[in-house]
Amino acid sequence: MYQQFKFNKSGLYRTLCTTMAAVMVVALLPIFFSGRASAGAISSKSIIMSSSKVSDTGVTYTIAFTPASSYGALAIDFCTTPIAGTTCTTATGLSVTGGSGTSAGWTISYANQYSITATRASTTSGAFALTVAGVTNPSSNGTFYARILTWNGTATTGWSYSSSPTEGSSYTDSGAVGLSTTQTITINAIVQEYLAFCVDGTTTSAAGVCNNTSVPTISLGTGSPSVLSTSAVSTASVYSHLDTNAVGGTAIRLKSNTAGCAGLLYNSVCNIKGVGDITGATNPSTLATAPGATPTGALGLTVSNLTAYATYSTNSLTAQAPYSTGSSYGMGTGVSSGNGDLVTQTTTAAPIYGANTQYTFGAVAAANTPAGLYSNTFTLIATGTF
Amino acid sequence: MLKEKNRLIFYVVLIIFGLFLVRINNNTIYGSSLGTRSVTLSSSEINATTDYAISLETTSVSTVGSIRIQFCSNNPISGTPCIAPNGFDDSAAVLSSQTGLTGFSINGASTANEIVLGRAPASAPVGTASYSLSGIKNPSDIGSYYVRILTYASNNATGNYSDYGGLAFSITNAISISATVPPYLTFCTGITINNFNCLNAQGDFLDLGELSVNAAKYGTSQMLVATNAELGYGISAQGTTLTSGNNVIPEISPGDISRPSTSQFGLNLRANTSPAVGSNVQGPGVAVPTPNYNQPNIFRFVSGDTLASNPTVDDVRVYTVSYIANIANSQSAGIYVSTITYICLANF
Repeated sequence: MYQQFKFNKSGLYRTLCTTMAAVMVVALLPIFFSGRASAGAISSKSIIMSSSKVSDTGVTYTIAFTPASSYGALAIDFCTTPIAGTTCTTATGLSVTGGSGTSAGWTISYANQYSITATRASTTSGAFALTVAGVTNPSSNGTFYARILTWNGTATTGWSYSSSPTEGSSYTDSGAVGLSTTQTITINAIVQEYLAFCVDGTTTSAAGVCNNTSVPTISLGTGSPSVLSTSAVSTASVYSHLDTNAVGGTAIRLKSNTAGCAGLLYNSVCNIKGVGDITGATNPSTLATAPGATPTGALGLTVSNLTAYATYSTNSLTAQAPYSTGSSYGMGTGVSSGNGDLVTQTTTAAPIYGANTQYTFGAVAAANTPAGLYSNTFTLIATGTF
Repeated sequence: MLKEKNRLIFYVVLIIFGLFLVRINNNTIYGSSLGTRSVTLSSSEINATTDYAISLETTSVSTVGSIRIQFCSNNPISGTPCIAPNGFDDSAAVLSSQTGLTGFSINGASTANEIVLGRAPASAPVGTASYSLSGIKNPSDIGSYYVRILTYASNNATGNYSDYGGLAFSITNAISISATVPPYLTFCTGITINNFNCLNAQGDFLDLGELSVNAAKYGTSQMLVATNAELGYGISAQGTTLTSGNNVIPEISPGDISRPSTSQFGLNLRANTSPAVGSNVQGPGVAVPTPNYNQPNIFRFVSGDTLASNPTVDDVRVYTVSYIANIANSQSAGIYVSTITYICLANF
């Protein structure tokens, strides 16, 4: 019981002392804050950072606020706490020294690393706006504050600014804006190399899809029965479809499966030659008649883009000589050797999507072309440079 | 109780940290990405035995002792499982050429869908390199396929890789082209055939006039022939010498010159000077008369003889047949007639 009574007595004493101390603090408050008894709030205040990355340089701070009172001088201090008039512990690493930005009628100073000041010849009222470029963000993650102080004075009178750590108490209005630096978000993703190329007998492939439903087997000839003419070109087409993300461009080459013959064979003899292999023939040729100094049966090719899916890609394919005239048929000597002959390639070194291409083969027989059923097999080879 | 709880929390944190480390290790990329790179096939046809020309650009200076080239059907991403393309086989591949980083040969660590190029490890500067691999069998299915390229310091593609990169290529349907060239034989005869065109052939009767013992009488006819018969053609003459009832002007056989005052009838296919008759064969073709009828001023006529032939296809040729007739004083009077049929056979 004694112990209990003693304890209660001591607690009562502590309660009494605490209450007295509180009364004293309340009593002293008017003394401490007397210097800004008339201070108003700053409204509509904001600062937009172009980057919240730690230590990022060249950051733009877009500042806007509206003081309650007329003002002709202001300061913006960047501190770790928001309360104006208290000691400003500067945000480590932050620097506005390299900042730039103007506001009409105001003289802006970036001389201090942690604060921006502005003065004018006469007071004004209303909103203030300033875009500051070239700021360096604080060097650690976390929240920091911009304390905004305005004075009902001008550059020459009525304001006195003391930069951190003590801001003084002569300002008219004040406010604060919280800002934050954060970790940047690092996102990794793999886009794998991709090349889809198909050759069809028809041209129904949609972008991103290879049909491969119509085997590209064609028969050249006119009339019934269909035979090669000696006086008119016989034509037939196959089609290719290309989608790729090859950044270095894509080339499509034509290769004969028979070495040494870029034309058509009968009994293993290349009597219908590729136009480029015919002595004296112009390459490309219209093939209206058999070309060459000694007219010879000939096979040629012309390449053209189809526009059906052109909207899927800004890149395109450009047919190469001698396949690019549209009205004449060419065949390079390289078709029957090595890796074949370049027939078309991307216009720019960039990916291409949904590129449909038409390959029209033309052939003509000569009077001395041996009778028979001619054939050959070709491949179109797409090579992407990644 | 509190200690046990703290210990539990400690273990949970330890496990999470361990898992995090494992995750980081799985994502470890040992080197840098290859620069510009490409793979060029000599054929994109399924199952074709093909040359693969691989070009690459190293982006970091490192020791390179081997290059692993993987062919996959699923993706080009290094470090993930590689599914071998159906039908693909590089077992017989030959490294036919190399540029840039050189000194490589195909290492025994290679498999059916993976080629390891190995050499004694050596420093490799940043730059381009290329490798031509021949004798590779293409996949058996059309579609997109991938190549993974990784460089290693070791000479057998063991250990961590340095540079890496992916490629893509496509196997496509081959284009089959066929065409029929029909057989043809163009053959016509006439006294004249202008402009190498049978439509311009005119006449089938030749009048030698009144025969003389002093000078040969002569005349000409023409034949046009062209064919795409692979084994060429032959033109023969079937008929009789000049006859009038039972009276005959003998044919010249073997060949002989024109001999006025001697009864003789013959022909050839050349330009002659004695007498001045005939022309050499004309036209863009290459065929020529057979030797017996291809000598100027030497005439002959044997029914069934082949006058001209060619062993292969030939463009248009126009032959001019020169006929001569001489008579002796003893030659019986009469109207002498000969009918000669020209036959052209093409050998397809």
